[in-house]
Amino acid sequence: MSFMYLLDAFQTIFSDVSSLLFIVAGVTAGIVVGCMPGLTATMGCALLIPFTFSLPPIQGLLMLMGIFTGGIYGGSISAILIRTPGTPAAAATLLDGYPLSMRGEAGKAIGVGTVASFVGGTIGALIMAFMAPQIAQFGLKFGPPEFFALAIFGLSMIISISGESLLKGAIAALVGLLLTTIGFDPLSGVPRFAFGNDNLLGGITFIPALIGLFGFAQVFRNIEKMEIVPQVRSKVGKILPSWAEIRGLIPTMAKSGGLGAFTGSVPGLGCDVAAFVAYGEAKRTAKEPEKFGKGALEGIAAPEAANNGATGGAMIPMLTLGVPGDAVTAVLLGALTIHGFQPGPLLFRDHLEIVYPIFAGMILCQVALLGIGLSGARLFSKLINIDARVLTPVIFLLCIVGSYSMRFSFFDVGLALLIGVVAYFMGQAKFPVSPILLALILGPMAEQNMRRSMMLSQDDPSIFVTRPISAAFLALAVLMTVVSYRKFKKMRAIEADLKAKADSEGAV
Amino acid sequence: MDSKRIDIGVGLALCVLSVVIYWYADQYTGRGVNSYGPNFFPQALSVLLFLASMGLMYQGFRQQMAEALDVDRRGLINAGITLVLAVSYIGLMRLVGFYAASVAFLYITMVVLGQKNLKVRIASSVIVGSIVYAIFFYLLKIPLPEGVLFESVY
Repeated sequence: MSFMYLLDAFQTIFSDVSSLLFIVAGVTAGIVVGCMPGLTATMGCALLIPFTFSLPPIQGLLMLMGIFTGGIYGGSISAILIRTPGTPAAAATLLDGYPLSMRGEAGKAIGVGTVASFVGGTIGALIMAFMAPQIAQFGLKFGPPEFFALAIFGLSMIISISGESLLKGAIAALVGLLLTTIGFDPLSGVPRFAFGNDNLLGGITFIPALIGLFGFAQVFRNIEKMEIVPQVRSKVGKILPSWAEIRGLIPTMAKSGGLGAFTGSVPGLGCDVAAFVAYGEAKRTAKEPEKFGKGALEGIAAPEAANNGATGGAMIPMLTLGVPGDAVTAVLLGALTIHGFQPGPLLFRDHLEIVYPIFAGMILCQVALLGIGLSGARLFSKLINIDARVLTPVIFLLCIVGSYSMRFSFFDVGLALLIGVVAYFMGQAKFPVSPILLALILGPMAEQNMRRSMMLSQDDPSIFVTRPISAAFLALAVLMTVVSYRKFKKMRAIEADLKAKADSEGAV
Repeated sequence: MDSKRIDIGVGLALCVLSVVIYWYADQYTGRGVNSYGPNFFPQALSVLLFLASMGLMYQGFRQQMAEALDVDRRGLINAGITLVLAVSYIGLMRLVGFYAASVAFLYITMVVLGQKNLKVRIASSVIVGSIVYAIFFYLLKIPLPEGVLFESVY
């Protein structure tokens, strides 16, 4: 059944050349943004969403899929060439990519990374296409208590995106949740915290908030660090790896792609964790593990296949349950809402005409990525060398136009600038901003379903634990919090240990 | 400013903010079939924010080694100037329209950020301004401000 829908979706896309062009445009734009250090895939999606406003939904969404896929892949180019991952997901790629680059084989490293991204991404997209409908089917059994528990489960992953301080992550999330209470109360219609300003009655608009958090704040950071971060020049040689090299890497790519899709589908883990997990696994099972870190091709193939595989995986909870796996999928969720579609189980019941083209589009994005990545590697590597003094004002301009173009409102531009300034100072004070984005998405879901549940149960809170699915999600949320907290503490201890070691070596 | 002072200061400010939110949200009392009205969620969140902020202050007081903030003063000034430019740009856009204001904004921002090459500054501002205008106005059909001075031209 799913397979037939998927074939129909391919037919829909192929019947309209402009859909294919939007995929190509999205992948290219994603790679351009992803390969520039300082511009993350999240920022890329935030900046480029306004370009999709006036497009028909399918084309707009195909372009966004392209940006997502291209953005995650693009990060590997700068990781390999200048040892600076364009996106966090490419951090594992530099471990072997940069040593290869130092040996004058940067082109080969990019080529292997591109092929691995294609293989991993395709596996992830296929897993998404066949698993997501089953999960959505299960999601149709959900009522308000289950959705509330699901929102709490989604919020429990704040630990994994909290950066250095869990407490600061929690505070950021609470601030984000409070922001969602601005505007009309969805159940009673009472305006809250609008202070008589009509612009606030509809609540904090998603796009200005997004551009403020990830666009303006990053621009301010880039401007501040411009004087102290030197520009690095890069060089690319022969790009296409030999067939023998690719053939030897296929098992690693396939395994890492599957592993990436699975890891990415767990909310909170995301593409960067998937890349490191796959890198570790590839090293553990390699015939010559000692070559890892010195330019092993498997060391590039594994993380690249995994982080692109994770793009498909991360879309599963976002599309089926309306719970974003990480900041980028939170942005995509917002984009879907802007195009008039509410991700969740009902999307699979009411909008199959959108769901399957998304799946088919995700697969086609991988094909576009392979073609564009291999043919444009030289050009993309030159983009890394664009003078930041020219690039930064351009991004600044795009942030301003992007926040204006949602409602043609100068109020939105001012709001985005204000949020950007606050987010910049939050970054300086080591407060993470991703929890705010997550809270903006999950806040309304939590509040509305909590209050609806209490109405259903006539103020009896036991409704959340007496219904099995709701209870299971709440138990999972507690489990995830405990496990993530322990992992968080362990990571901090390891970091402190390493720092102490480095300090003592420095003293000697 | 060091991390200890920041944590204490931010914690204190958020404590005050959460009290204000709790007090202000009290006016949205519940109506209808149950007692969980529009005030419940903001008030519950403000209580949690108060507790977390107290925790942050406590953490700040307990910090033995305060880390200095990693801020480049010159860069921070540049960021501030760019912010002022952005606000001026929004005002200028209403007056002279999107295209002219954007070209001017790009040019001046490049000067502030230290781009020394005049040709690069002029070419980048005009080309980027034109491309962005063409994409948004002609391709995406987004009505961009024409500016009160040039309204008659359009």
